[in-house]
Amino acid sequence: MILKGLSRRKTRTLLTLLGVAIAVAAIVSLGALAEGLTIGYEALGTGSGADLLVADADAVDIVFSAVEEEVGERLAGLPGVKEVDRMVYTLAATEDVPYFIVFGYDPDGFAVRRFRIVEGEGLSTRSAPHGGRPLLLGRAAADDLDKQVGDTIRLYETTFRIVGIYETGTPFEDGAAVVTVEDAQRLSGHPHQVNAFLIKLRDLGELDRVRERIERLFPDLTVTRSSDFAENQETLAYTRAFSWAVSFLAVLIGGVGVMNTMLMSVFERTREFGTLRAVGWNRMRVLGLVLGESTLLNGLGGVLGVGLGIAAFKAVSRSPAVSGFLPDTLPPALIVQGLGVALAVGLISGIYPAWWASRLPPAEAMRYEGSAGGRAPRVRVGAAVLRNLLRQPTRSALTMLGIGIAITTMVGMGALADGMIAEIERFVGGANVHLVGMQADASIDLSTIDERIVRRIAALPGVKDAEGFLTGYATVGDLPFFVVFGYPPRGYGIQDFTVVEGEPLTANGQIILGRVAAENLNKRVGETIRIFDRPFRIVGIYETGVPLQDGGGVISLRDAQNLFGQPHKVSFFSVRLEDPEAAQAVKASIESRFPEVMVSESTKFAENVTDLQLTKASTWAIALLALVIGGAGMMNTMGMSVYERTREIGVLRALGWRRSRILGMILRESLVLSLLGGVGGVVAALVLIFLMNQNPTVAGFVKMRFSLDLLVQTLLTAFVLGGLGGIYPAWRASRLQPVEALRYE
Amino acid sequence: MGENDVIVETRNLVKIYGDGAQVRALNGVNMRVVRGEFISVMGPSGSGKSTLLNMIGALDRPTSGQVLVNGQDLGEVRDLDGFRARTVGFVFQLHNLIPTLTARENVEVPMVGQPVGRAERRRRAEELLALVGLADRMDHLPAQLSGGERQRVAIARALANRPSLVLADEPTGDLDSRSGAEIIQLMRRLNRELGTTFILVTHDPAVARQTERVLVMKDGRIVREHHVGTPFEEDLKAFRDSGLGQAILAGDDVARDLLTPEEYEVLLRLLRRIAQ
Repeated sequence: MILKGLSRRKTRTLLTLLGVAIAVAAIVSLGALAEGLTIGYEALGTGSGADLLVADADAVDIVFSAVEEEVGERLAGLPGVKEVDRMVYTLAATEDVPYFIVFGYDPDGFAVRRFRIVEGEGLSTRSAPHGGRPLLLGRAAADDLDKQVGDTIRLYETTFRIVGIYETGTPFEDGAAVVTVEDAQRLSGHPHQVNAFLIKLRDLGELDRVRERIERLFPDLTVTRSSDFAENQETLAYTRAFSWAVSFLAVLIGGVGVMNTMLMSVFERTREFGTLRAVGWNRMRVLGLVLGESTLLNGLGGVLGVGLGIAAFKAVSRSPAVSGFLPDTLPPALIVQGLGVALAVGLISGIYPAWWASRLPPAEAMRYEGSAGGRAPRVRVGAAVLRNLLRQPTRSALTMLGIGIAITTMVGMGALADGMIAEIERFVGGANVHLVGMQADASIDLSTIDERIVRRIAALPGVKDAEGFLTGYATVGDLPFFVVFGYPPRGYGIQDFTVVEGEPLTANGQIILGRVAAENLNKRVGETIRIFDRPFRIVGIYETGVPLQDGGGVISLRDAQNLFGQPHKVSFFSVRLEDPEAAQAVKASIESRFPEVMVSESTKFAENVTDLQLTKASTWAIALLALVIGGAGMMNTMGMSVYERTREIGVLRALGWRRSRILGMILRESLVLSLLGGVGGVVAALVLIFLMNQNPTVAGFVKMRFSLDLLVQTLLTAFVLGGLGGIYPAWRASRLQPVEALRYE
Repeated sequence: MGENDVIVETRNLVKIYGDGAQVRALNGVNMRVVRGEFISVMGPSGSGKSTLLNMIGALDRPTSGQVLVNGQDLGEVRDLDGFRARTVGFVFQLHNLIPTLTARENVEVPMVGQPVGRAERRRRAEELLALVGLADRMDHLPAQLSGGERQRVAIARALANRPSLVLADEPTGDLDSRSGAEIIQLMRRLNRELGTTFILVTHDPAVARQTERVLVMKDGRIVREHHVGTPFEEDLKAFRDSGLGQAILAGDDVARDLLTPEEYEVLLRLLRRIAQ
């Protein structure tokens, strides 16, 4: 009986299924990403064979951790410590893969033994047959990149020789490469520093004692049990939160669709429910029937979604760029999770329709007339289009809600991405700067360039001056992402930081704080602030109007280089030209001379940075996901609306209305509905953006930007959504044969 | 009665439904309707009367044969939507009004897409509603009207584009007998006042009796044709069949003796009209 209820309106059921399925697919595939990262980080920790892991205390992620190498010798000398291994973990660009994971291990250490060589030899055999720096490649990476032992591979500008292929069983590692610590340090631009030390103990019983001793000796280091390592990585927490947020959103829109379908189905069958009650069914049975339908609908959607998710997972796993971040096989827990969420959504969104159906008084329900054409209205409001939408106010409202949420997402994500891009452009570019540069192919968080290159660029013809600066993150007080800028105190770049209180930065050991950071940290001029356990005296407060800057602080470039362990390195550089017109020529000359840097005009920086493009692409992907689910709801609603009005459409045709006019009528309704949803979504997004910008943690990091462009894009999308969602139902309506439509009951 | 006075003519009209198990809904129908007539088509359900109406109204195309309306073969009309909008008006059994539109807006619907201005549309709809006696119900929604009132709106809607032909499929089927009778009377009045031709499909003999001519259908054919008269006409027929009537028609001296020449001429004209 439940199945028959659902199969009555096949198109509607299918569209609803699709909405749920996409939501579940999002849960499964995004969950897989979070899971893959977890497995990877767990392998780094637990899998390493180490008992303890020592890393930078204030680093947000292990990839940003930098510990001086000499610490290792002192660690090895501690009582109870059996062995200490160095570990470098970095990302490097290689052919086709912008973020290729590279590990640096001691060739003779215990940690590298886990990388089981299946072909060729290990790192320690220094006898690379044809020269070149030795590199071990993971099995999966070798397959993806189509490489074999003896081949060469380029990481940034350095050529490596593949001496062996390994397997560990962890995709995170099997999709990566292992090189010597020294080579990895060169790739990451941090010579004499490692991301972590792996410690093997003589006796596990001494674990706590050793840990305490290390933390006492090195207050700016953190010691974790290797098994707790993954849990302490904030990247994982963020990835999980992100995957849950997107999944939640998809489920929300899908749930609205299910509720809509169930409500419609219940309204249509009012008379039937009356009959069922009249022949002796009690309220609970009716309730159970509707809930059963809703749950079954979602269960089917869930199964379909898991299928889609698995397909997406399989497809994505083939791409070498991401395979390292995905687990080998889809964890069964995720499938169960996806199905569970689908069933829960079915139950929750079925409750109201089921309650409604069970509460119908039998006598009245049996007299109910209105399955075709909806309930007859008693009032007349607004234009004919609006009146048609008001025939099923609940349905129209739910559809608008679905579209509204989709549009809110789109605006919110768009504003976030635009805000980030605008900010990075501003802090990199600043005023009066013509060109900006960073490490070619690197992620902006990891960009490092040698100071000497900047000095040589400054001496190039046509260049007035060039200046490098360093950026880094630190956890300061309650702020997880405090951005530290290192500028030469007497350079031109620091002029952008207008000091409004106190004095400008003049020497090492000083810091000027952004206004927002000062307020959030509750600090004043003259006080001291500790970053990575080093004290800095606050000499001034500045305001730039760029949240990323106002939420951070500026120290001298020397201090920053020491603080982040990058002597003689800068993250970015800016160039001022003698003649702004010559920008193209100078850019070309810099890039041909120094292939390791990427230079772009300061206004076009964001377009050229892979990171920002990825951010933009992913925000669009999420928005698209929301829109697809919203669009399915739209099509569903308009399909129902046409279906209900079959007879009416027959009458209009009999009265001489042309097909095109019918088409136009339905399309207009669909467009009005989606535009209303769109406007509502924009308003909700504006409120959201306003609230987010009030939040100190978020506002200190990025200010969401709402631009006219974004508004136009969004409304256009709503319009397209309405058009696409409405076109098929409208076409169906216009194709109805008048005679048959008139005969339709 | 010249050719110009024939508004509807069907020639050997055949309609077959279905591909496998075929149903001959119309099996060679030949009929003519004269401009200004008020006729009905009667027959049991399945006899093909609604199909015939749909063919005449260009809602459906015949399998073979021809339908001519105003002398034009519908098989050669390219713009059937336009034809329906301008030449015919439909009244259905269920009023089939658009529930979200008021009475006036419902009457305006057929004028949408025709070269009629907004103001003119409104004026004309009000005029038609007044004509059917609903001047005080213009802004009511269908749900706020009685069954008979809804059918009046439907009739007004059928007349919106001044069609020369109104096709009514069981117009009283959903009404009680009193409202039904009122609706037929209204249509009869409009037929006389506006000269619009009406073709009614019904299975109710009481309705058929109020039309001028009844075509009786069975199994997709017209099997009989009755001329129904008004009571006056019936009396006149009785008079014609009487001795005096026959005498007048025959030009007998008896009649000339009994009547003045003027009276004779008037009676002769009357009897000749009824005699055909």
